[in-house]
Amino acid sequence: MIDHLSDAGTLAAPAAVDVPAVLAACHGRLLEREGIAMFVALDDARPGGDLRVGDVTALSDGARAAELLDGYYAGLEAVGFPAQYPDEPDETGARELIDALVVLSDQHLRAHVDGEVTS
Amino acid sequence: MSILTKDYQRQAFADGKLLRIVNWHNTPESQRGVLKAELSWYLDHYVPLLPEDLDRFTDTGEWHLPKPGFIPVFYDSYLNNATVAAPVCDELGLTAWFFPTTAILDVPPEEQSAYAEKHDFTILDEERDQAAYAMTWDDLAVIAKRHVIAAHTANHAAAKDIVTPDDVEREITAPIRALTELTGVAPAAFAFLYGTPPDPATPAGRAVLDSGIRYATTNTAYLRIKD
Repeated sequence: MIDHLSDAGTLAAPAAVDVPAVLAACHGRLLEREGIAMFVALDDARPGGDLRVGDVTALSDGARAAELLDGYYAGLEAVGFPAQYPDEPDETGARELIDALVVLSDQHLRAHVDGEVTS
Repeated sequence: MSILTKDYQRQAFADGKLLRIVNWHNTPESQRGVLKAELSWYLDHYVPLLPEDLDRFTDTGEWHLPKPGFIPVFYDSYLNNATVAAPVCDELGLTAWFFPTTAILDVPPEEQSAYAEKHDFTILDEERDQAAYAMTWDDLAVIAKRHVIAAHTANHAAAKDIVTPDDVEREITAPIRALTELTGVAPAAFAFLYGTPPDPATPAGRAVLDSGIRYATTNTAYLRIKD
């Protein structure tokens, strides 16, 4: 449970404990009509491009996100990465990673309005 | 290293290459209040990013903003993006990114339901009685006055289904050209259905990389692909 409401939906929020439960809750939402928060990479893919980040906040936030991603990925891996639609092909090529990012983003980015608290 | 791996993602984050986005598809009238509350929450915590902000970051490695940035994104040309999402964003003074699929902008209202069935365009039960489900080119022109327009193929196409030169022209080149003519600038970004990264070894990927568009939008990354 997030104890500090002001941290809810930010990287300062503590890591969720029951990772499969968070993913299940995300799968249960009507994502076709809700905002889907996502942390993604921002990179330089130009030929010869080599983005070196010096921004202190970006480095701090990125380090925290990497740490959280490790935990959420491991939490899903431990239960075999349950699929929302196990009979359908994975069109993304990265379902496990995306699910871990979904958990990360649900807990540390998704808007929390009306005092909502997530578990 | 493929960008679709956990190792790549983790390293990108650890290196500070982190971007916050929020993707919407349908934004029905019944959710107007929720949408406004959520966007207001995001504005309290983050600042909306423009393509120029991403350019500066990918060129220098430094943000220049008072708070971390985020990108609010609206996909697929839903009419409710024009009647609800864009007005809410305007009310909040927020610049969003819109990724319209362009073919449905030309589909007559009475044919949109049949078109939707074939192209992953979701019609909500609460909107079934509407005369139309997609915005028009005129709607998009109004949105383009205040918001960022990006490309998302003509028919909501997956990269794997864009194979022939005709496919490339229909799903990549023509939509980019049409959006450029509408807005006066090249679309800021391009996304395939399913968020597939542009693979230079495929006709579809090569076409995006050669299109002059600055960002490839995938499920897990925004990639700067052009100066």
